[in-house]
Amino acid sequence: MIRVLFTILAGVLLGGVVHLVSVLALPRIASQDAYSRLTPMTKLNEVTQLPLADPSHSPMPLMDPAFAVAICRYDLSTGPLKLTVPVSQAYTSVSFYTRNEVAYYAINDRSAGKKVIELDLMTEAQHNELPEDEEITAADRLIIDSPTSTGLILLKALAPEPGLMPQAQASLAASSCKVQAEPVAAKQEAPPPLPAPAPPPAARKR
Amino acid sequence: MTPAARFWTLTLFDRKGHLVANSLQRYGFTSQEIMRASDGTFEIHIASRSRAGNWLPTGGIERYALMLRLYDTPVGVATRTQRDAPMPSIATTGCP
Repeated sequence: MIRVLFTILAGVLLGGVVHLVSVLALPRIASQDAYSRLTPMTKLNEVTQLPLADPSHSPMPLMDPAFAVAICRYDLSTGPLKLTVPVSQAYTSVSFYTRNEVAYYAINDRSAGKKVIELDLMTEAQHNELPEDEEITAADRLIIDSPTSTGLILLKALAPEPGLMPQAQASLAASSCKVQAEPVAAKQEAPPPLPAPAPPPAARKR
Repeated sequence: MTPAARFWTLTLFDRKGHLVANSLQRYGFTSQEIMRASDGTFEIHIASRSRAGNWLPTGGIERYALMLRLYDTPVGVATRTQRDAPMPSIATTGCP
């Protein structure tokens, strides 16, 4: 009798463990996750606008029809990424997801506090390799560490009224995400805005 | 009444999370396009046949989900009380 009860108890316990493990593993083994579903319709390391949600098809479930949505599917293995998003008239947000759809960072137009949301996305290793120049530690350069080398950046612009949708789409169309091939190239790119105002004082000294 | 937020949207989905086709091509409201009474409150009629005022068509389906999304809002997981996040009330007004 006790043996039968013990067997049943062991079976229930084993079933529970298998259930828990499979539920917890599901996000990692799911083949039809957002990244895979967006892969055929988006370009790598480029901003791709998604079609507006309508009843016959929507790229993702539960999309908000009041938003223009664009995706930057990134792969940081060739270098860090520079993201530039001009904010739309209403509400613009940029959120970052790892390859396994874990949101790890988000910023909106108001928290950016500027007309353009500008930031650099890199892996932790790439961040550590950055030389600690004054340009790079400048406060207005926003650096985000991506926990995985691939992932998704979701750009959203609100059209508060249907008539404002073209404007929301236009602001997303003007945004870009580009790989900066070499950190050196990034350094060369970054200085020009700074040295440009610098020469006049140098000339005065002479 | 809605919780404090810069914008909100209310969207009607079917049970699979798709938008519902209707002749108006209206799938929801945003906080900016809704018509409000003079005191700032508003009423939305969710029905298959057209109604005066804010009409959100159901496209004739019987089971649907309404999703209220708040954008740029102080409401979060730490919000506990009804007073911090006053939710709109829902009432069934009549059966066809």
